Amino acid sequence: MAADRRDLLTFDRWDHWGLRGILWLLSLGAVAAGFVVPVVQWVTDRALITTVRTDVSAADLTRGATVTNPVSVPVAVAEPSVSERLWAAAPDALTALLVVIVARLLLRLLADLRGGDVFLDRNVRRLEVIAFLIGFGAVAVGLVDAFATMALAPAVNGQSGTSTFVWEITLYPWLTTMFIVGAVAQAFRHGARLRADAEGLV
Amino acid sequence: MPAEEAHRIVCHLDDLLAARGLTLAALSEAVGVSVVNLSVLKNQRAKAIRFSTLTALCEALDCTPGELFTVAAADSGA
Repeated sequence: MAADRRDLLTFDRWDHWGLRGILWLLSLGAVAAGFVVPVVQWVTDRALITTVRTDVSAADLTRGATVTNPVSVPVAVAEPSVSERLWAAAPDALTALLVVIVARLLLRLLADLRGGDVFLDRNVRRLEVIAFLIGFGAVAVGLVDAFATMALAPAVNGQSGTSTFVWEITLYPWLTTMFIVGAVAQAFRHGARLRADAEGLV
Repeated sequence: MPAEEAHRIVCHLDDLLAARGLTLAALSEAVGVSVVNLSVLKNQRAKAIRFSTLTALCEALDCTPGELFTVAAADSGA
């Protein structure tokens, strides 16, 4: 039973190929959502489907209830301008770019892991870059998203509508992940040092 | 990652082998250390040596650690 559990926890070639597949799918999905869909919408001149913050009251609220704060709603903006299309696409495009870079770095790290020689300086650098992209990428996406929401508000609310800076990204999961990956990078740094020491031991 | 630490230890394995008329392969067989590892030692590429390896080498070559290794003089610098 204990041996079975050990086998289950071992990162074998099925896990390796499974993770590779997931990373590729994630990259393709991110590129599709971040680049392909906005471009296709633009080329085919379709209405801009996006999410904006608006204080327009919901018509079907009952018993005199009103919307007290601006809310995020999915909208279709007919005949959007070029800048509105670019702002609407920017957060997803930046997210896609970050996902593709992180996935590519992880795929290279996986290749070294498969080769049996993972404690290398280049993998330390890869993990440090991943940690940086996760932490500061989340902040960057949050900022771009907030500015995009501001830029798109007039398209929905009119010039007099709400156009405030709204921060909607929850940072702590990303910052926690950044620190965890950073700690793993530090462990890899020690591993690389031990490997270098063992290499010249007679 | 710090740069590889410099050292001034010089290994005289090739001199001792020549003086005793031994080959690297024969020494490898006598001490149970691979020819590759002995070659690393002989060519000054080793970073560390196990006490067990040192003991075996000293026994096989009938020498002391001080005959096998010396510390090179430091560069006087500028």
